[in-house]
Amino acid sequence: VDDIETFAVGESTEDFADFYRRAEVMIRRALVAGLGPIVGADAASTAMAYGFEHWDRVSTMNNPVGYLYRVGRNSARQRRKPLPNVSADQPTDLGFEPGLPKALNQLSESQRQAVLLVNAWGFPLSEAADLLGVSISTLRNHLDRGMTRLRRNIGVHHDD
Amino acid sequence: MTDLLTQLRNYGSHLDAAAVRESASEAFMPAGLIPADVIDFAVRSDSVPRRQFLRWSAAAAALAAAGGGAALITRHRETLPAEEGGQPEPIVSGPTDTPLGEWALLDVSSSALTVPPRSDIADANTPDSGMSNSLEIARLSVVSGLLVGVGTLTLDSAFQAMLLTSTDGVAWDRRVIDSANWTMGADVVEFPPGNFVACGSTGTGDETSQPVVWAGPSLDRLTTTLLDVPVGTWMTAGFVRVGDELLLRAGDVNGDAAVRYWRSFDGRAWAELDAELPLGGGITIMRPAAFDGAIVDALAPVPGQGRAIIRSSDGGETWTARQLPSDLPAAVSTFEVMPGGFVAVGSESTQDSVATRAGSGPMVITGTSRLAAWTSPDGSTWMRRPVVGDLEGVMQNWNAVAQGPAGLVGIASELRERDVVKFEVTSSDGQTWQVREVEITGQPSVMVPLANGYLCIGSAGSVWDFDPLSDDDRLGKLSVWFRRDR
Repeated sequence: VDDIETFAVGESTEDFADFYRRAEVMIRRALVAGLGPIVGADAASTAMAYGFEHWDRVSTMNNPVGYLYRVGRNSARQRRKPLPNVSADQPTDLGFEPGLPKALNQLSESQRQAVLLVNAWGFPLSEAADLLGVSISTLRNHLDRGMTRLRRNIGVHHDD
Repeated sequence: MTDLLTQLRNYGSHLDAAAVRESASEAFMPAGLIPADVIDFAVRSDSVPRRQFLRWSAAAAALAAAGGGAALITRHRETLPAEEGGQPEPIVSGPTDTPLGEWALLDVSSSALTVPPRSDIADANTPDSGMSNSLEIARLSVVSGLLVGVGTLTLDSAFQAMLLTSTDGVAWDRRVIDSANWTMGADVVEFPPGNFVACGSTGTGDETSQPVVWAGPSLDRLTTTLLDVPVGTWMTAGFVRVGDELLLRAGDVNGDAAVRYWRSFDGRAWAELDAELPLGGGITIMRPAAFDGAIVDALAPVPGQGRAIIRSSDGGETWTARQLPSDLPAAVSTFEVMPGGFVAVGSESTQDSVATRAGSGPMVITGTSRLAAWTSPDGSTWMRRPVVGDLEGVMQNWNAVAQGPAGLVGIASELRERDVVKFEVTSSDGQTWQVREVEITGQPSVMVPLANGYLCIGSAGSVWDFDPLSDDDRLGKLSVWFRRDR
């Protein structure tokens, strides 16, 4: 996916407004999962702006979502921030252990993205793989290793 | 506690909310992420320069500036005019065929104001932004008769603090003064006379930076002083001179102790003030100002009081806060002290919607910006002043502002139909403003007043990134504009 040709050219059938509604949340979530909400949201904005500016060409790519994810990720290079912790003054009934953010931060970026995209936001494996520009088997590896490590970090040994 | 998968789903919702909250915290877009709706009229954005465009798009999709984002621009003039015994101003004449009061693009093609594209990005043939080779200038000053710009040279992912110097605005030299620098909030002054003092931040920004001061009798003999603070996301906001002291303001954007001041009598040794500043988090990088013997630190958030203007009349030992009216927007970019008091200029968010068109369909940006100005005789009462009521477009933004021989002069821009239109706004007192369109095609970002006019530097061309989908010039470059008034 390092080469623009990989994204290839097809027939544009979607206008940007529709694309934005469909793709922005996907790209934002992938970037937030990897970079945290501050840098991730900013990078998503950068990506969507790029997509808009070059829509005539981006729209003809086979995988514009994956391409724009890469644009956002490139824009945020070296600008990682941790995922938010739950501070003491926030309500305690958020539905997750206070140690979960820290445990997620101990995963690699790829593992965290796989875990959050698939298991937090319910992305199908194929969709998450396309978005991140990896094969399904690679994504599954990240997911399995990430979940194993997450369980160990948070002290959970099974899902139910 | 529920099972891990359910916890992850709940945490996903928490992250979504945090990301939207981040978007909403952008000063220029307080309304945050708003669903797009199509409206009737359409304009194109093909000609919108990248950095400007990102800022606008953030209104719809959520920046930072820079960071980078957002350029916060302030006037700077530390040296005394020649007639008051200070150093002579640099002589910038500009093209002789340009009428007085008109902006001219200077020919700086023989200067060190360009950098090549980053080699690995060019080779990979994928778009990149933010980290490409570039020249970014944070502040432009006159120091000992020299034009001195301070900023960041980014070459192959390495940030370097740099100084740009010129005696005439046309021939510029570039020198690196440190191995790492984060441009935003950098400043350079002469203090005491005959001594250069510059400030910036080490590191690359997020969680890696500390405030740093470079000082010396010449630009070739600068010593580096790292201010003693825990590593964080430090941004300097510039110097302010009160009496025989030079004070430096810096803040850790993400830290608990948001704002700190340091004091120096020689520009080299710096001591942190003990004063407890009545400030909360979310600092601005607005430069402090000297007013009537006091230090005025503008528009900072004060716990329990909203935003306030804080003031010290004893060199920063003690501070008092005055609450600002709630309608004074967060997006104030420049705070000026003028003969009649204070002038704050910035942008107001509006509920206008903008339809832009790319390819086959429109995109709507909900919530745009309009230039605004406020005046106050003393910082306690403020009055809104109309700036550009009769312009046609939307998405108005200040590019650069300076106070000089023709009063307050600003370059601003707005999106109008298919183009970004640049206009100049001027005011002698901040209360009444004159507006006219000007022929400036780049992105001026800093301006300095001179004895005979105003000099402005900013980007031109596709300087921010290498873009395989674009036919733009791949060089990172700065352009220089001059407005001769005498």
